Amino acid sequence: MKEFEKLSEEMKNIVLTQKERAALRFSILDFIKTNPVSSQVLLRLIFQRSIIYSWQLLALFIKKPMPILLILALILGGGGVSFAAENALPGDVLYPVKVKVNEEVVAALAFSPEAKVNWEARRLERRLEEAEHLAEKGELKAEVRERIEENFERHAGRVRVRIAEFEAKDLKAAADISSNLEVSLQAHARILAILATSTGQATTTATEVGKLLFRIKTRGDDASRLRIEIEAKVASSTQPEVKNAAEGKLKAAENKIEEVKKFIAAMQERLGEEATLEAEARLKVAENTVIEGRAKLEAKAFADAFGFFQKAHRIAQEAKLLIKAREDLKIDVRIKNDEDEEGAREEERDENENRGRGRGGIELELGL
Amino acid sequence: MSEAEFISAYDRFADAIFRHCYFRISDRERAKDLVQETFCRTWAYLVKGGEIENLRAFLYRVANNLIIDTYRKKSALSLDELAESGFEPSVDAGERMLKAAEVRRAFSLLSNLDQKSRALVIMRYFDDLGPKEIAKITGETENAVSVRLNRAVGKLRNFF
Repeated sequence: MKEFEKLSEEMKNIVLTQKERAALRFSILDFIKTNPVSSQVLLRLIFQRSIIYSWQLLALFIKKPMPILLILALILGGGGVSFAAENALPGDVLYPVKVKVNEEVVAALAFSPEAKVNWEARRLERRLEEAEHLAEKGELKAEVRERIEENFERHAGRVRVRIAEFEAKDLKAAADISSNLEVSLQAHARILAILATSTGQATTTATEVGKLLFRIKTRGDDASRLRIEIEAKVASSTQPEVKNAAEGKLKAAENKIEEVKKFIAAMQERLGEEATLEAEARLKVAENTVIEGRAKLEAKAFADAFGFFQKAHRIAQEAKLLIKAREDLKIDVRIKNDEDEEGAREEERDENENRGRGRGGIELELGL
Repeated sequence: MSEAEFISAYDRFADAIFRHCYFRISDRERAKDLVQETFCRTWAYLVKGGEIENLRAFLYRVANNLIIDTYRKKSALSLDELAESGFEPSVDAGERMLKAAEVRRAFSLLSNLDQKSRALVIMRYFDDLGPKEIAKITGETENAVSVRLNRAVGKLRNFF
């Protein structure tokens, strides 16, 4: 067999050329970027780590002194404690673990700029979710609300900064992130608005929610403006770039719609008939928006197509967020948009001033 | 696994996976497609939260499955037919001078084996994979792998 072995050795010289390697590498990198590791997966990584990892975690991430019992619990409990901390709310014993350990570890594990900013945006959402849970329980006091607001503003500020960084080097990513930020803030604004007005709410909670809501709406409007700005920038890129961006967004929108379809199917029983129908109707709107986008694509109006696909993505994502809120908070948030779709679209095309109202406009009379 | 770690895995294993695919399906272009497909699917698996103990073996496993699918999809190009028709393996221009002859010889030898045995021989001799790893990749027992490999080697011996 020596001869065959010799032949085999020769065959090991069959390799990819430089060009071929580079081309494949590029394609794969592109795939990785469009399919980032979700924060869910990163979180699970933490939970599964061993006790030894906990030691290292503690050394690196605990900046403020923590009660010794908590430290012991972390070391001995390892992943169990991390996991339990995930549901903690401000004021709970394990809340510091959630924010200062779990979230910081995920932040450290996120390597690419995209992964980092996505996690930052997710942290922002987590603050809002916490506020929502507290509001639902009628426990959102001024002090807590202030802290949540502080954290929220910090994360929102960071996301803003990163979007600006992306604008310079990766316009497509900037568009994605700003669009996701916009829908996230708008959805949570709607949820909080419902919480503020639900019957049986103590006035203190309603007031505090109102204050938080103001912040969120401000940031939300800002995010809208930013998103429109970035879309304009995309529109003024070279033809092939805009075409590429539009095609990429089409895929993203279709994937998102698929994802939410599956989500609705999974949640059907818990949602009940009415909400399921609403959600499906909302998805239909998203699908129709995609169809409109496709028409624009055909007509080579790539910038317009891009806008439509982004919008479709947002509609689908909003539906998902609202469904989640119904399920988590047991509140009756409607999954349809109260505003006239046509009116909303024309408002958006208007590049600047007439952006007064946010979408899903539920007006509150809280004397702000 | 982070994105940086994954792409460096590409840098390490791309050539080996390419070579493996190339010798199994004897088509350079398709082999390149399979390399991309292998890495992308592996990443997709990781993104979904899958855990991988041995990345190299995992990549070979994905590649192996993709190759088997390739065989199933198209009426498998018989290497015998190719060898007889004076098949010119698509060696890269730079490799052409030195290697075309040897590559043809390698393909010719391999064409005497059935698909499964060919896979094992390539894994053992071109990829330097151990019997345990090969067993994991093909999903067969270590014993079955050894037996088939020995038979294949015995057959090849006749051509020297």
